[in-house]
Amino acid sequence: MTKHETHFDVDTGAACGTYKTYVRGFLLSVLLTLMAFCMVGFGGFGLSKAALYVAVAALAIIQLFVQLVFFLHLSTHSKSSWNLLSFIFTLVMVAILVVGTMWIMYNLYANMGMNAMAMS
Amino acid sequence: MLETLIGKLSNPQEVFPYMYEPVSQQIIIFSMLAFIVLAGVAVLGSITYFKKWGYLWREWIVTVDHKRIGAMYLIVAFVMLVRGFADAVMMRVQQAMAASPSDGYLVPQHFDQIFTAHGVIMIFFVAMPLMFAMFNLVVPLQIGARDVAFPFLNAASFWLFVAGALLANVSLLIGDFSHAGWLAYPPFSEIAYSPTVGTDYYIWAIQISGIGTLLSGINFFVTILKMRCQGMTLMKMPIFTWTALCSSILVMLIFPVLTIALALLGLDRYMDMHFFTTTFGGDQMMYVNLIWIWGHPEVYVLVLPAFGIYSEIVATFSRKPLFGYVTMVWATAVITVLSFIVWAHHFFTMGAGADVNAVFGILTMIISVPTGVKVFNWLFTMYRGRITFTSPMYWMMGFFVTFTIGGMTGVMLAVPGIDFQAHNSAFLVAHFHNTIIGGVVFGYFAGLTYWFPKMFGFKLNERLGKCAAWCWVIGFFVAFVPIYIAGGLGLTRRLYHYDAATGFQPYLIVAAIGAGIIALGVVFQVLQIIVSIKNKNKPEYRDLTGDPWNGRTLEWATSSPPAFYNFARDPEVTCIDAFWEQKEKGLDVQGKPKNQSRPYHAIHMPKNTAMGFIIGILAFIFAFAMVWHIWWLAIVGLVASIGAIIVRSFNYDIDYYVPVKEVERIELKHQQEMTMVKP
Repeated sequence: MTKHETHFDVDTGAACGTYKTYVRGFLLSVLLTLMAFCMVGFGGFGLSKAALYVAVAALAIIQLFVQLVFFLHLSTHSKSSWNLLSFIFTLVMVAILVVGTMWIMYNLYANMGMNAMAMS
Repeated sequence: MLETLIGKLSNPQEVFPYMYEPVSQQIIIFSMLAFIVLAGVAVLGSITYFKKWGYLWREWIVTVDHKRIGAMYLIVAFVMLVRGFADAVMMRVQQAMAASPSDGYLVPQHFDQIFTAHGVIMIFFVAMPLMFAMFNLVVPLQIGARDVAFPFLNAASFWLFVAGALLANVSLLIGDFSHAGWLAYPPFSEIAYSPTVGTDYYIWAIQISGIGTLLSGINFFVTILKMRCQGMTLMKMPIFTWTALCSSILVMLIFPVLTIALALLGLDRYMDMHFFTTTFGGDQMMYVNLIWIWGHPEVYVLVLPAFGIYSEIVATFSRKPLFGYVTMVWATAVITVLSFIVWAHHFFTMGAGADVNAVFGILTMIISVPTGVKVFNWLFTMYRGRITFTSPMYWMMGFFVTFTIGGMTGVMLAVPGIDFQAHNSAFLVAHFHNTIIGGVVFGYFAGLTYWFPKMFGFKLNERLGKCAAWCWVIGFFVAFVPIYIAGGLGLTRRLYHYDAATGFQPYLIVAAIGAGIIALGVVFQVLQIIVSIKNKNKPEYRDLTGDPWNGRTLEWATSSPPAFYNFARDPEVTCIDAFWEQKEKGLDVQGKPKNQSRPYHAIHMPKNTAMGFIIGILAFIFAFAMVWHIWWLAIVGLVASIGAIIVRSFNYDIDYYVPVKEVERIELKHQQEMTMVKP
């Protein structure tokens, strides 16, 4: 995004998009989603199963950033840095919960003699 | 055909299960029904008789005023408190009676519903609304704002919450309620073992009110971050507002987890999926893990604002600034973060290894450190203060003693080795009641007494308030010390019936007596409100100054009750106890000399709307239809409620300006009242 395309609310410092940025974000999201669907739907273009997983996951992560930038207006602009800060805090918390959950559940399976892969 | 039209309502055995039970149970149900009908006729009749329907609609149901919404939260919370407390008394009586050969007076399926309803109601429909009542009533005033950031959203949150509460209560007469305990652990809560609509009532009551809670959390987060008055930096915020901020952060992060966990359970029940079944690769342990990711921070959601209330009260009634404001803020922040990393201590016995249990045990013990910091801060605030022992201070004293004991038994349970012995025992039940009654309930009662004159313009009767506090504290110990002991002796929780040879009965009889003493406390509280309303115009009750306790923070700078716009002029602050400073220096809320007359400005306010109420009704219809499998009605309800939100978002006529003349008139009246007080 170039400077003049992003506007900042005077009171809150929150960024808000323009028609152009929303359309751009929407098209990018559609494109990334279609790519993921096609990769799975049309036989994976000769990729191995593991490579396919990685590719789909990568597309998802790219899409995550597209949505964050174009729809949630995350930026490093100093006025909206509180926005970024709370986002990072949320990410850390989610990471704690996800990693903690995986640790607890795998430890449980190992300890109880259950096969973790068979469970999922 | 009938089933397509009215779903499971076509099956009388599902709709009126109590008609197929012994007469003794029907007597209980029908006396309750008679009570509800009589109370309902009395309330609706008197509204009609006094011609208050128009007033009720215009002034309350369509309101977006945070003070009115707060008062409504309070009313619902109190009605639900009485319901939840009745459940508690029924359980205590059952357990006191049910030593063999007696089976007590309840059948097992009723006892199951009662302990489930007690837990669900006390947490979701008493403690949560009490908390949001306090947020609504106090936070905007403390930060010098005109309303919350999203006034309409606030109204919508409230009505969604009411829809959920109503759903939980409808289950009394139409169908049954969940039998599966307040967290509905699978596999028992799965369709195979709980085929009745009870668990569906549970799921939808919590889902609907949970959406309201999440929206409220967002609302107060934004309000506190974005609507503070000029000069109020984060580190000059009143401590209650700090705790409200941390609590809102927790709500935003954890309620989605609850929604997901219950949605997955719902998919299991409705669509025959297998997330938490024991077959087809499902795993009920995952539900336990998810629900406690929500459940543990939830208790901190509830208790942090209570800590904030104690901080405000102790400073006000010790006539001193709060000791260690900065450490108090950091302790709150540390508890907020730590509360996220202790959830596994709720299922030490689930089967994870020593590594997991040791880590979560130690983390749990660490959380008592910032809590201890807070307790010492309060004690040091009181040290050499000029303490006045008003009834809020009585609640606070009760809290000190009770909560400290509850905290210590909590540290005991944090040791996985001890927890293996005490898990699911009555010892655990006594522990969490010790912290929740001692911490949360006493806190909100203290806050209610403290801020009551601010909300309604008159003080509560002090004498009856103190009687109530004594009854609650003594009743608590009489009720729960025997439960601690019986738990230590091996009494498990949720026990319907036991052998007389276990020797539990004497303890449980004493516990039932304790519940009776607490009931006396509730009677005193009801009396307190009635007596105070009767005498509200007498000088010892009426608060004309807006500052009955010689307070320290901005909410006391405006009239009681505040004008609907809160402050005629936007406050400006320079220090933590801003109002105290301004009083000392004889300044007004903007820090300007008091006798200076300056013109008022027109005030920008949100318009009232019925949309919040309508969305609440539509959500209720949707949820009720889902519970009873009336699919067409569920679709109608869902589409209509989403449609209502879309319609509302295209309405641009949502605000107006209060003319200067109106502001002048209201402010002049308040100034005249204030001069009436001066001797």
